[in-house]
Amino acid sequence: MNSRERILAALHGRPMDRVPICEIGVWPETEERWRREGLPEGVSVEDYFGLDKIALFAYEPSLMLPTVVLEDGDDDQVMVDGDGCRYRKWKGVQKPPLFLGATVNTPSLWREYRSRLAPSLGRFQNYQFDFIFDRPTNEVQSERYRQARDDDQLTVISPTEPCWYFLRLLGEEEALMAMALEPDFVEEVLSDYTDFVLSMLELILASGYTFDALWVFSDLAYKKGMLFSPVFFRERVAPYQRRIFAFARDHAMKVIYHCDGYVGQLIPMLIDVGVDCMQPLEARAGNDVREYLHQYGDRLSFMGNINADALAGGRRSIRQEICDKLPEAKRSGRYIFHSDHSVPPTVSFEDYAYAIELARELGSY
Amino acid sequence: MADLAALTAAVEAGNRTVVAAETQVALDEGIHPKTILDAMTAAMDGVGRRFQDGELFVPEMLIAARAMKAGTVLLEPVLAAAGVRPEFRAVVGTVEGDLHEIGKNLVGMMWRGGGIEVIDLGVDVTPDRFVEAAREHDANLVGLSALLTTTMPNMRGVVEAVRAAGLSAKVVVGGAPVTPEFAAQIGADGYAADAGAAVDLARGLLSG
Repeated sequence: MNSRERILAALHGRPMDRVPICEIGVWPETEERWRREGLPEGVSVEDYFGLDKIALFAYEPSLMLPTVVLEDGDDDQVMVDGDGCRYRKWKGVQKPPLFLGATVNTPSLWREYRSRLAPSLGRFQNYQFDFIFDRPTNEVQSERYRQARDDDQLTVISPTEPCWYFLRLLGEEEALMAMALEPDFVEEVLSDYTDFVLSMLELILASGYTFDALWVFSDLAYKKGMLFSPVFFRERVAPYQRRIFAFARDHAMKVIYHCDGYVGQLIPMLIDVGVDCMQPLEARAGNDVREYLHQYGDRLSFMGNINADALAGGRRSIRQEICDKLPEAKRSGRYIFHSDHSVPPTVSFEDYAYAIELARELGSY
Repeated sequence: MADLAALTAAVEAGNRTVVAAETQVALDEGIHPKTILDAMTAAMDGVGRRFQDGELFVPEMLIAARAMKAGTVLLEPVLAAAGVRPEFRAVVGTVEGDLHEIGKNLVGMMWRGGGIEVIDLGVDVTPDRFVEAAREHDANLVGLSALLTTTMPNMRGVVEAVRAAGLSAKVVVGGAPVTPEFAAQIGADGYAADAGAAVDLARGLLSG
């Protein structure tokens, strides 16, 4: 069984040889540490550890407004991105950008600029950005796709989820306030953006690309639970997610949903809109994959929940974490081993190797 | 005719237009600004409780806090002229290396709503800056936020710096990766799971 078959088996709840072991979130600083600790140059983390690879693809999601550099200092830069959002970005250090303000933040401005969401294949083919770690890449996406297909890797398309787009467009605080004060404006953006997403997906598939899954990254929750009310989600957000996920289902793609924070309240609603797999299940936020598999394992697959704190805590803590969770999760036949968010540089190369070895040992059927 | 019940309700509902209007009417009628402020603080207490109970969510808290600000901005010069100052002061910030704001902003808003003067130091704040600000403002509280596993340890540095500086300010911590156990390990005076809990925590520490 190859990696793609294995991951698909977990997503479909079909028999497999062992639990897939995946990781899409090794920090750049972590990889730097591991290079110093023994990871050979020229060998990727995935290849070295024999991880089950997931080839993620995306496209330019923005209004494609001109990007402008407003200030250019030695250590940082203030710039305006393709959605008119102002950010401070750092030079020479891996730090997330600091949101400073939005431009397209009223209904009239949205109506003025929304025609710029013009679907084009160029948005996909010319996309050279690692959206996981927010940095440009040199890889040509179409070539990377061809290589992934040749290697029979799991290929996944990742459109920007409309509600997440809205949160980025206005900035989190203004967007959340708009949910309370201007719900019709929120819904207008979600509706327009969903049309754009569906048009882009149709265009990409019509051009001959095929994908095994569709994966959205949309942090609508935090440690305490949902950022906004379940009522708002059901009435204003769910209809648009349902349309996108129905498209995925109609094109034989499984739907994977990334959401940080505590997702217990969100899961039933996401099942309702057509999600097939939840990821990453932050342990510190109170998520427990065993509990979720018990409740939803007949309908939903799960990827994650291996506590990064445990991975950073030495062999005893790694053993306890994996022995506590993996055997039980494995019984469901719908679990994919993955950290509970990403692998920070507090995790040593040796300890990660131990974790993967243990996962392989305990994850075999 | 001043209607403090309507003012309270407008804060709870996040209606800043009504809050500003009712505040002005109350001021014009000579109601003591502290009384007006108390009506708004009561509203934020209610919002905080309902948030902790899961009835309200972040959008409702944000608009309530913003509505209250529409009232306090009218009260501040009057309070200052009357020599009324918040009894307690807090400095808040996201720790060095971390740029996430919303948690810190929510706590700041709720503390202001609870009648605490809040000096927001922003993000990526060094221990020295926390100490300098706490000293400058004679802060009773230092609130630290972190969202990343890798920046959370920087909270320890702030606690140590505050202690080494001989400040009496209580240090409280919160954020996605932060746990009560971690807070105890680093010697923080308190941990808040969310912005609503942060108000109760502050009151408890300040009354002690």
